[in-house]
Amino acid sequence: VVDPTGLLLATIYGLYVGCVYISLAVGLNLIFGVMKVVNFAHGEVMILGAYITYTIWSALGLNPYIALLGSVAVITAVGMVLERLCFRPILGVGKLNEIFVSLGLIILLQNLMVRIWMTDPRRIISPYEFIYAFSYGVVRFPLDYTIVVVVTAAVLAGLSIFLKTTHFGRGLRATSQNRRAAMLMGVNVERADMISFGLGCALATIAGSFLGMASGFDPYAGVLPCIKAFAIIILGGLGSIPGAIVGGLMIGLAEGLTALIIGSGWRHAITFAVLIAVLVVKPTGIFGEAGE
Amino acid sequence: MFRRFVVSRKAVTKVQATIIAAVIIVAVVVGVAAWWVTRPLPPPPPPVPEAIRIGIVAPMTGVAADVGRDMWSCSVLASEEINEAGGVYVKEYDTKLPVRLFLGDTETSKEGGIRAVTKLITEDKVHILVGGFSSGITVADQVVASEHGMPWIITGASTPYVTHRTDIDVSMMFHHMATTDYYGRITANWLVDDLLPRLTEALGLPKDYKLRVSVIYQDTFYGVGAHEGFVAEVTEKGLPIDIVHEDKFPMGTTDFAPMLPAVAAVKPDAIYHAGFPKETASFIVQARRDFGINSLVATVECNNDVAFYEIIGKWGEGSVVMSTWSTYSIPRGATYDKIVAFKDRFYERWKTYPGMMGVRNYEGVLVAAKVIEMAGTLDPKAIVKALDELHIPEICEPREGGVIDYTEDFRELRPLEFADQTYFDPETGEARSRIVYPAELANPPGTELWLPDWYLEYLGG
Repeated sequence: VVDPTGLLLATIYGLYVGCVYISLAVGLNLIFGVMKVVNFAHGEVMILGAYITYTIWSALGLNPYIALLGSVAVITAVGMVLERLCFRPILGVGKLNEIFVSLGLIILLQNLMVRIWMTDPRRIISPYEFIYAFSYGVVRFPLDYTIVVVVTAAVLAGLSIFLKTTHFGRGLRATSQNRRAAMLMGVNVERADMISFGLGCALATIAGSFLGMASGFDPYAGVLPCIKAFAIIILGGLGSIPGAIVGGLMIGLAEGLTALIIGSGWRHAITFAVLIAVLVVKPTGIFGEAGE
Repeated sequence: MFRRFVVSRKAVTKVQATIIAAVIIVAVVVGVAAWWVTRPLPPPPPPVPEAIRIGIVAPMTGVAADVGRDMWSCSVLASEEINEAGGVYVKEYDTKLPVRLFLGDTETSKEGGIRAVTKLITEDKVHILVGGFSSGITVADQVVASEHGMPWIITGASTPYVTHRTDIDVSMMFHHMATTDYYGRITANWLVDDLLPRLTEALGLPKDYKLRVSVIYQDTFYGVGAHEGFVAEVTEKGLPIDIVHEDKFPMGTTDFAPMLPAVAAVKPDAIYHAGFPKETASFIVQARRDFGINSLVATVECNNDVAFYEIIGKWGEGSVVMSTWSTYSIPRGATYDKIVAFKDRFYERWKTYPGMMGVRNYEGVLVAAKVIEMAGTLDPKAIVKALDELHIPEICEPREGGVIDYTEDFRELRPLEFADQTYFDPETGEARSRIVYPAELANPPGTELWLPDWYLEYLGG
């Protein structure tokens, strides 16, 4: 018999962690959608973002949500540099090259973070962590969760408006749909690549900083979330932002409910079983369409 | 006919006699000289080595690099102390030899561990090994040491298997730390001896009340061993503990949320969490902050670490680390002054404080030097014999009976663990700890286990 309180707690947490995964997965999808590049080092970019937020927060004593603005700016710039130096030279050369560049980046970024911050685990402590937006018995919704949900919703809404209403956003979408046609129509696809990579990294920074507030992290903590982000975008459909949102929530809730009903040892297995089941029924994912 | 050959006395002249005597003398001299030159010589005295070579097996890169750094820093401090005191007297050479450390970086991996131990033995030609962090890695790389008959003081692999295994010869390896099953057993006993009576009194529970405990452990040699030790102690001794929930997690987990609703559902009196600092601290924060699980968490000694106290913050209040070393406190008793001096020296040298694994390596290097002095030689068999016979006063960590000696059966130490309870220090804005059990080690003296109001409200409500 499933405990209803536990079910409610699992759902609340699933909503929160789903939001974190959505930020990560949407960033990954944005990069893939525009550049058709799979960046396996996205998890490490996420942890680098968490470290930058941690450093600004601990060194300057700023509110971590304010510090997050600084780290988003830094990592956006880092993302653009990575795109320019690592991915642009090999774009279109072959998928194997892209895979090995991003695998190399994993090692490079991990070692860089170990060099700077060592391997001691860290956590970003929010000033609101003792405040609950909603509380009834043991069922309570921390204010930080509310902020995460609101910020994620606001960022996604902002991204959607940017992509749909601005000239540059339309250029990104055009590049995503047909790179050659977009180029012929005067879209600067190289700039689109750089901006999408920077935006993707910024979203990873938001996810990493939220995760860094929820639990401890170290330079190697990006691997599992990145795998889950890949599962989410495959589940939702490669390149589909609504798919990433639905996929993120599905994975978050599937994990929480599996652990509650069957046991936490099964949560990854069930999550990937859901993924396989969806792909068998709809190979392009929930919102995915056949590629170019 | 024979007469012709008889030499008459008169026939030997004086000159002839002199010649014969000279020939005989020359022959004797030549014979003696030949014997002298060709006589079997005694073996030459062994060349005096430039130093005692101690190999430190530690993870200097990879996920446990912070632990490796601590192990190395403490080893360096120990070697400096030995050398400043003039070195180690080795009878075989009738001289004092300095100690020289060699580093073997395991890279926090089994393959790296095998490479590191092989390098220390075959290239650096060390005389003894000290260290070895992580049970999984040490189980892999001790095979190399076993093949070479290399004495090893193991300071950072808690599974008892490293000295219990029978598939390879481990008779030259000595376990210089508490073992995982001991972790579980000591915690089960502490829960019954210290927490249960206080809880019974505070909440007015019946005297035959059984403590309701949730056991959550890392799915590795370390966590499984702690879990098995806990369950075995409860079962074998019939302790008044009811294990109401059990779950395990992979190493490196920081998101415990999926398993926490199940813990919340059973509302345990206490949670035994066998994980590493990042894991246990994340668990405590999530359990209390996100799921309102205000149970008292007891955990394993490796959590007595600066990072653990940084991460848990105020959420860690009331948690207990069963330990032989305290980051922010010092057990009263015979080791008190030694620990104060050690911490001061360490701070002076490295401008930070030592961790538990480092302290064990500090002790390991000092023990290595001591047994070589006892053996009077660098011969590995003699060193192993000296380790077998070792019986010296405890150095930093408290030991049963106040001495360091290894058990005859599995060459293990007999540690004396204490309960180190966390409180929040508003001045530093971080968690700190006080030793609350047993009474003779409590610091400040008279400190007892504290049951926070939120804990009693949670259980009483």
